[in-house]
Amino acid sequence: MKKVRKIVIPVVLIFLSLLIFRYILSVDKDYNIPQMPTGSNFSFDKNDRKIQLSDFKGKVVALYFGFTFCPDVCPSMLSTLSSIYKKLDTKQKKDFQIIFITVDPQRDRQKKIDDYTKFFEPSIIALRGSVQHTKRVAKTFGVNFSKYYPQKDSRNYVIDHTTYAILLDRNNEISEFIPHDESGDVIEKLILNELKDKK
Amino acid sequence: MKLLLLLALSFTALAQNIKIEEPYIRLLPPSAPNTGGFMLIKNESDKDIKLISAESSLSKALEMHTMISEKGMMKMREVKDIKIKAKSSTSLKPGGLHLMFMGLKRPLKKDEKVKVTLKFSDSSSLDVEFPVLNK
Repeated sequence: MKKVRKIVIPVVLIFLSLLIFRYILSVDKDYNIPQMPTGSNFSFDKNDRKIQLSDFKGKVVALYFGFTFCPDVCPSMLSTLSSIYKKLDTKQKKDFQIIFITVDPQRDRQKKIDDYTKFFEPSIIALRGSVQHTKRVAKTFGVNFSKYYPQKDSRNYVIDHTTYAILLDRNNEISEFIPHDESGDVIEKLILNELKDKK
Repeated sequence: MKLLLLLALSFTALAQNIKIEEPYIRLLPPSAPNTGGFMLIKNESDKDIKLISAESSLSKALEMHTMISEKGMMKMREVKDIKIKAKSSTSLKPGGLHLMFMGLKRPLKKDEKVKVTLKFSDSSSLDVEFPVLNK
């Protein structure tokens, strides 16, 4: 009898834990069904001025969440967007705005992101807010980010982040998500198309 | 004699079977603390070789990194080594494997050349001049 119990109890326990595990997995899955982000009218303070997305109604906006420690993906996207901007005619330039929001406000001070974006294109507007505020805003655009510490020392970290840029139409509505590895030609076409649409 | 041989072996040989094409370091704004280095590594030998480290005086640390895409998030992670298969090549390019210059000691200048020493698993090494390019 003892022997039977010895076998049955662990088997039942394993079975139960499998059930619970499956349940957790399925809950997680439901939770992860992605919803199409709709964006939001964000607002950030910059040099004592409030800057809102709605300030740019009537313009096409390319929005990018990045950080200056990012050696690779962020500068690629900023440099592509900037070179497209530089090629636009005067009228189109007036109708197009690149906005950069740092996902690393702890290390990216306002002056730093201003200097950083100026290097690519002086007209870029660089914004910075608290981590919580930025997270909330980013989420509405389907952008996520989190810190990762490669070593256990608490000083050096990198940021895992969603890397697409978001193209917004003249009504501040999301028109395209642009993957970071999209070719410059395609991105240029998307932007020119959006600039053509006078809704 | 054995000692001599050992000594000779311990000296790093020049990597003759490795060719580097289009190396460059990305020019970034002076306020950027890090930057990436890219190249194509060709292994002309008939043995797999690994790039095990890279050294340069440009930054406080120089690591080898890769980018992993997971649930739409890009994650940059350090790798121990970069494998180049026999008679094959491995590309270090934006959005993928790259050299990561961490903690630049000075701002970069366009078109300047930066010496990087690459060390391989066959204990050979190679000095490569990386131009700083705005691309």
